[in-house]
Amino acid sequence: MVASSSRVDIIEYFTRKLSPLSEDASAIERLYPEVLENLRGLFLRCVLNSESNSMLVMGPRGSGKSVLVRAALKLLDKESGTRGNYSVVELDGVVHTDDRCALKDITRQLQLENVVGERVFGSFAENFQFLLDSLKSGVDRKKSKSSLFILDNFEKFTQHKSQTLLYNLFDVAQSQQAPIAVVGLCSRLDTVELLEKRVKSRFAHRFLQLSNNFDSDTYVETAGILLSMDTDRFSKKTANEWNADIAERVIPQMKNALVQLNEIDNTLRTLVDSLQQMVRRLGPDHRLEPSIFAKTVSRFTAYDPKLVVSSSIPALQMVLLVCMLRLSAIYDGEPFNFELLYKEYMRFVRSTKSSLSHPKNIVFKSFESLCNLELAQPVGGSLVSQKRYRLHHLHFCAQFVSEAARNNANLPTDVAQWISTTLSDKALGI
Amino acid sequence: MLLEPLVGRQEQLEDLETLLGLECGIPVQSVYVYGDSGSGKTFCVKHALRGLNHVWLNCIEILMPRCAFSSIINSLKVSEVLEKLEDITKLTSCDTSSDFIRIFTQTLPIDEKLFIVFDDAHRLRDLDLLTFFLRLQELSKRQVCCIFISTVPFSHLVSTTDFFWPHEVHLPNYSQEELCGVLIQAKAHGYSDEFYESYVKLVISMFKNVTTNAKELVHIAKTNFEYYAAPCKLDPDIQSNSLKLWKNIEPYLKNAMDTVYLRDTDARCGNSDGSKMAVKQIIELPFYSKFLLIAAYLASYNPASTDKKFFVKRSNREKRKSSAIRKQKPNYHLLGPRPFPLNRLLAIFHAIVDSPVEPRTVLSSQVSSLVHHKLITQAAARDPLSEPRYKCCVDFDYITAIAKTVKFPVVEHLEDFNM
Repeated sequence: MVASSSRVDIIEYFTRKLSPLSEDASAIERLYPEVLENLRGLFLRCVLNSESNSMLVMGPRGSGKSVLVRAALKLLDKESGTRGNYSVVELDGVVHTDDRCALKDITRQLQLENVVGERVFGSFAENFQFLLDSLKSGVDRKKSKSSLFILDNFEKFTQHKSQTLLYNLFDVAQSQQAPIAVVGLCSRLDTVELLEKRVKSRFAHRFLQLSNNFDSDTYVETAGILLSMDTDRFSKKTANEWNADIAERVIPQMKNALVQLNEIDNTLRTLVDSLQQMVRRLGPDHRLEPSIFAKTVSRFTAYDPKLVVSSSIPALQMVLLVCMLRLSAIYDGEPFNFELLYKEYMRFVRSTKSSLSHPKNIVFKSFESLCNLELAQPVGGSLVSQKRYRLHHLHFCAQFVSEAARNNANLPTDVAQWISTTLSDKALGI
Repeated sequence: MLLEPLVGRQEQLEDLETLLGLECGIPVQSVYVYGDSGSGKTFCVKHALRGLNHVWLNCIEILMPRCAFSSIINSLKVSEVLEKLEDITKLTSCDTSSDFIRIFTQTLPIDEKLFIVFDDAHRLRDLDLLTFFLRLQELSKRQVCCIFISTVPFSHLVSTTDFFWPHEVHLPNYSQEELCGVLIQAKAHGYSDEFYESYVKLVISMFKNVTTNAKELVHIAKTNFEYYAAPCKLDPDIQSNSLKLWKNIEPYLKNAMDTVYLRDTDARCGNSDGSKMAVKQIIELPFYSKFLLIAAYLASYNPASTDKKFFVKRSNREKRKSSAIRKQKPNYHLLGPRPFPLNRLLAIFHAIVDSPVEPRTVLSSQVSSLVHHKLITQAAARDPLSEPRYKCCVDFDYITAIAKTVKFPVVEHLEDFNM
């Protein structure tokens, strides 16, 4: 139906739109107009009126904080009189693990490497002040270029030694020495409490909240926005046809799955991630297939990774799992070693006369592969030199094993029966 | 390893390829591929990435973040194999994540795709580094995708749900039919498909309850085929007689289960049974060392209270103790060896050696040489000045084999066997 542009183009467009490289912030514009306006105002005042400020944007991981900041910066760029009057410094707590490399990166992002040159500074504050002074221009050096500091993973910066970077940033912002705006993005609600007293007192205590608490209609609408086509990139006819198809066919069909997803995890990133498979599997006739999205969501909801892993393990390992359960029931949750497990296994072999009787070292190898799957894990360090006697804890419960046994297609009948009778044994109290 | 075509993994491979955007589009930030060992994880990823720009890292190499950073940068920058020592100057060292991002963004063009594979990702428990690579696309603003390969689900790596979550692709263990397909690919030349298929089915039916690891089974099938096919050389008619073929191959496969499956290559030749294997591994020890080792074993696995019963020449008077008390005693062979003081070791030693007593210095040097051979270990002493305590670390098979060489009835002296 959307014949004029090729399938590859469409996929390219949407994968970019749904990726972190995306420039598009239409969903954020729709969902958080006030927050966005607030942030844009802060930036604008900093750039045009040289008004310093600091602010924290809070919200759970994946709620769109970074996208929000990016959108605000883009709006700022469109504003008249701002271009060339400010520079943006983006720092990330995961990347900039100490203040020294953060400062180095600030220098680089402010493009002051040449100015600094080989200069040696006595302290962090001196260095930082020098950087800000270098941004001043004009005859009397009154007018200075504004700098906007974006600190992603803000809580990580509080772990730096004596919070020097934060102290200096907030100090400059508060005392209006130079026009800077400091915006921290954090997912912890108690982040302010992590700040030292002297840092905290310099922070402006402005907060923006992204709660991601949408009702289902808004959520469905957001999905529609994410899937809609922009008229800049595609011809008007193509985009209109596409958007009509999304609104009339795709979204109504996706609605149930979307509501379900919103109930489990309402963050925007989860929504974006769940759309990926559907968009990437665009049909040759340029139609999105809502059933793929439903499949992704159902996998997301009814999917226990541990259970899936253990649903296809060989019968011997399954028997060992049940033996471990028996052991932990007998010894009241105490850790066990392989010798005890083997004794328990031999009891199984004697009681069922199953064909599943194997020598000790083979059972041991099976036990080790279960440990590889981390269904059982050794306790403490390597105090006992012999592996057979190392104590292990089990990492699963009875319900899990019975579920796994039910899903396992390649269990021999007698083993499956033994498992179900053992697990339903009231006397053992598993 | 196996090559084309892929058996039983089409669906997962398709999932993977869509997520990686191989056909068109931008890859997702990170993909997490997991499944039991030998379920084709590495193979699938290699298959998907063939001919593409990718960096392959094993997480066992990542002792510290610097190792990962430097090797990614270097494999991007230095394409040719380094041969001369001077070439080492071409390598860049990259210490911090901010340096890495800087060099990485300079090196990788903005429109080029790159895939970074982290094998054995369950070793990557450093959460900061994990977060860093999970979000590399966002941080570097390049079309880069990190693929993690691991045996455990992603939820094992992180303790909280408030975390950046990758796209997960799970590979289940091979089913029997799929295994059959995988094994047939390694078919030997000169035999018909049906003949090889029936052989493969035999192997799988033998091992299906123990393992579904494709790597193991391919190896076993390969090494035992010559035994299977051997009778056919003498008598071509036997090819159709499946019962005879089964009778012929069964002992070999049983043996393979006990040896090859456990990677015990020494015992491969001939039909050796378990006890012979144990004898083979015994280090040739001096006569008294053997007794010392036996004494250590007895001291480790017998409670000290029973020493009198076993090692004092006495009348049978005490034997009439009520068995009710004994039943409550723990079984030491189930719970592992106990530490014992040196004096007890020597006392037992003197009790079990028939010949006259040796000078003590020779004995203690032999004790330390046993420690050196890791046959016994020194247990952590509570007080450095107190008497050293030891633990025996050989198993029952080993000690019976040793005892046989000096004709000592070890079983009769063990409490667990004389309850």
